[in-house]
Amino acid sequence: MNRHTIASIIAVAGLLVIVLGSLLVVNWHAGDISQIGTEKVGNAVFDDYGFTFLVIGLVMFTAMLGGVFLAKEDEK
Amino acid sequence: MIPIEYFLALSAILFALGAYGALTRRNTIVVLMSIEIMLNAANINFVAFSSFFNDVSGQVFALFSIAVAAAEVAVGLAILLNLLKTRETIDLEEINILRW
Repeated sequence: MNRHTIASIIAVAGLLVIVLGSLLVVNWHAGDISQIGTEKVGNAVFDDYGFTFLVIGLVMFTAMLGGVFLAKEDEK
Repeated sequence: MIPIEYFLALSAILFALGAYGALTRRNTIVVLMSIEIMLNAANINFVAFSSFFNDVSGQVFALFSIAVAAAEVAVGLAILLNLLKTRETIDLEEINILRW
């Protein structure tokens, strides 16, 4: 195990201790995980976040074009 | 019902596993997979808090986050393929063209 791995383990363990410790310390107010139907999610996507949905589609389209452009074979 | 702390703990453990993989592994594909694990940990947080507060926005954000992750992986794998063609390696220790 080299120094890099040991430093990574220490950093990740420290992060985990801090996050899990803060989870235990915080007093979460009473409340249960509730079920949200997919119908509500679909309505929210198209009604409240319609523009964002379009932008995400544009981002994915651009990523697809970029991926194809980067991965294409060179013509010789 | 399962309390929210369990979901947050699962998310923290997943994030730590992903961070460990991204920091220590030398194979670029494994690093990409570790980054995806970290993104999914964030998604679990989104969905858990969305259900906890009974607000649908978190789940919508999780959906968008998954879409952005897919786009990121598409570009990442294409860059990887290009790198494999030009440098004939995907070992991160040997890929130093962006280091200074």
